[in-house]
Amino acid sequence: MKYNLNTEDPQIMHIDLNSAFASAEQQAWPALRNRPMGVTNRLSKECCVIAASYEAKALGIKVGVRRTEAMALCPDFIMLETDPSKYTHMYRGLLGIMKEYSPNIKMKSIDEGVIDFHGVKRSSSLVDIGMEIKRRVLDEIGNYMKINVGIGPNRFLAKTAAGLHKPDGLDVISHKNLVDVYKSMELEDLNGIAEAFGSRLRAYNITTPLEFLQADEELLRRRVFKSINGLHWHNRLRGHEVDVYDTKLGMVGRQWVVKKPTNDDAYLRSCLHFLTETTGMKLRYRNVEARGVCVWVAFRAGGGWSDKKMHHATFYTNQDIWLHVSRLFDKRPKHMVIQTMGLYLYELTPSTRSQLSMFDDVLKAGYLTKAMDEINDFYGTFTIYSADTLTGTRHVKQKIPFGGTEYFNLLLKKA
Amino acid sequence: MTELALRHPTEAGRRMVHVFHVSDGSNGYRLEFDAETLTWTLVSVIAEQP
Repeated sequence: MKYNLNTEDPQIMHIDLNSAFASAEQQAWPALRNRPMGVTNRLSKECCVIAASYEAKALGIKVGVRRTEAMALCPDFIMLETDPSKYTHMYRGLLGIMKEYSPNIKMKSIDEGVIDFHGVKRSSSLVDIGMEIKRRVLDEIGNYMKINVGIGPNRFLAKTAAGLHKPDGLDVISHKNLVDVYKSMELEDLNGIAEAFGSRLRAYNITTPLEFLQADEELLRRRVFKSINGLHWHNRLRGHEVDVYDTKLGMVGRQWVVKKPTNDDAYLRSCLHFLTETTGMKLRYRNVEARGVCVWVAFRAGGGWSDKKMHHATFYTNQDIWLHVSRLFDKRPKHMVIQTMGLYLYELTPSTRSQLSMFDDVLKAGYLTKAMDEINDFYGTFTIYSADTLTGTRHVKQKIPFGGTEYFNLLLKKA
Repeated sequence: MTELALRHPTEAGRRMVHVFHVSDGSNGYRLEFDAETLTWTLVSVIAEQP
């Protein structure tokens, strides 16, 4: 049967550093190798696993499992706190290696990235390059760090290939073996098909990846997905590229689980001010300004409170952000003990900082922010900060984000 | 010491600190070298599985 597959030689390489944070800790601590262990943002009785080692995963301890549950599954389970500087070092190493092979690379998250070899002159095959990258990761990042490499004609198939033989695989999916690969997979094994989509497909008698491939484009578009996504899936499954796009930045923000839940206004304000300054740093790094601000809290007794406000003018300086944030924060029910709090900025637009303002005080605030950012860039993050955030600086830990790479890129900017 | 498992830089304010994770074959040690004060600090130890 003809499927109109993409028959070009695979040019996309997906690299996946599995269990990245856990592997990084096992790299650093040989005593933890081959043992069930995980990392969490801050150790507590009820903290959650944010990355588990392969040995822990084999026992059913996955991301999101609480420490108590993990200990019940495996009394020898070891939990460590995250160590951002270690992961920054790993991320930098992987990024540096990838950049040497193509100018067109994209980190999809902290531990996975894509190299696009289209238009790149090369003297060896992608399989050889994949093997070389594996060796270099072992030599240059750590001898316990294993990566999965997947090669395919589009990003979807490259990622699928990278998942075929974890934790140390190298696979190629092309038009020659694509049907065989689909025959060996279940619907939910496809990246992007979770339980809900799987059920929807089954409702139309599409029960396997092969049947998904055979499904009529019009059926997918008009009935199964009821959107352009049907056409995208039709093309994606055949190896045609549909996943090259820049995601629009919707919001930036930070949240924090209060170290000692309290309603102490001075303590909470200082910590929130610190979160505000790191959010401002992220905002300016992305070269955008915000119009909307939202502050939210969750109470220890359950429930929560939030408030948001849209402003007419955009803002980006720490002073302006804190002014808007603190005004909202003052409206909360102050007797309630706060467990978690956070803020985010939205309605982001490209920065207008290069335009001169006619108002002197606006100019001064801009100069002050620029000077502070330059000092912090040069001497290290939080060399200079508002005195009001002193308590927060001591208590709020540098956090490891899920998914995005912006924070790591921000840390690398000054490297 | 039998193994240098990982070395990576970090910062303490403007000071560069080099972190060394080393092992003596049974225990793991995190040592930090402050590049400004030229001092070594033993920060933590993880013991081998009994």
